[in-house]
Amino acid sequence: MSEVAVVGFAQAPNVRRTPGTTNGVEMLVPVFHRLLADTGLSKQDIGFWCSGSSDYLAGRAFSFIAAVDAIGAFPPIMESHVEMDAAWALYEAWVKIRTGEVETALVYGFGKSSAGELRRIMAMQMDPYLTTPLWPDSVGVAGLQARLGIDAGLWTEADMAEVAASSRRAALSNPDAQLSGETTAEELLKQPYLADPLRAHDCAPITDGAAAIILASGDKARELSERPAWITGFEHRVDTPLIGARDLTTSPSTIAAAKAAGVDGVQVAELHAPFTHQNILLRQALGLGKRCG
Amino acid sequence: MNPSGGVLAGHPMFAAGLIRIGAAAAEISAGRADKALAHATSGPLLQQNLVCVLEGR
Repeated sequence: MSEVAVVGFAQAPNVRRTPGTTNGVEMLVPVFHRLLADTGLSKQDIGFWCSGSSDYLAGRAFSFIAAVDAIGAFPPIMESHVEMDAAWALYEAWVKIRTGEVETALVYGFGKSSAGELRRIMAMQMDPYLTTPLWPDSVGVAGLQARLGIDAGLWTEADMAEVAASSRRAALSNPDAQLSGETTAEELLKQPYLADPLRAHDCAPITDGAAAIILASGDKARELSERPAWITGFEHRVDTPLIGARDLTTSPSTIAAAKAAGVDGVQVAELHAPFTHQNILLRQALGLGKRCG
Repeated sequence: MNPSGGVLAGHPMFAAGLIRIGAAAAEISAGRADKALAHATSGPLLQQNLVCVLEGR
């Protein structure tokens, strides 16, 4: 099967609120332009398009169809969508290239988180019969998880504040970041609780944004990039959606995915942890040690 | 760990996981690392998790 590499990446600035529509077109058009210019490709060179977004966030059915306006209606394209983070759309595109069906793919994701009340919208991804009708807000539920880990001695509020301070420091060199700056855990711990034991700095901000990646196979990747980032392991796993039926202080699905993907010897990691304690939880699950900066 | 600042520095829903893979790939392409791990999550409280390993040659 073909080898596959990431040959291009671009994102829109991460901002608290954009004036654009929930179909993401205003954010996506400049991202596509930059990505195609960087790789020297045109729209016609892309074999497969795949996206990740959410109708719940956009507030209407089949909202991703409107996002295709950012590509243009003509000539026809081969296209697919997942109602998940676009990382899973990238997985679909990776499979498409691996099977030899196409040589290149452009994967994009977008979300206008500011369009609704995010803490309530996120409650709709829980069990629709017994849990969602209680409208457990996403920050409150994360607070329960943080508390379980604190009680089990796995992390402290100071450890969590240290994660936030490291994140803001690292983001100083990221021009697209929404939050960055020099601060200390000590300073952050003086702030009031948002959902005890979580303070505002423990929670990812509400962000509007979009991003896209171009994947290419073997020789095509070598042609498009001086140093392609070859995908040598790609796995995803799932735990039960019933939050009362699993141990919330660890992540069996992350451990299983990492084991299958082969993470020995990684020198750098980018973790998707929307709450500070989840960064610590994931590092513990992945065996990545204590360093968070 | 999280050279971009991670999602605490910006969390566009449904793009933030893809951005982790893009940021990890950028570390490889820039020659700052030979092997990188990117992680994405979906669902409540880390219910679904994806791991992507990227390497430079």
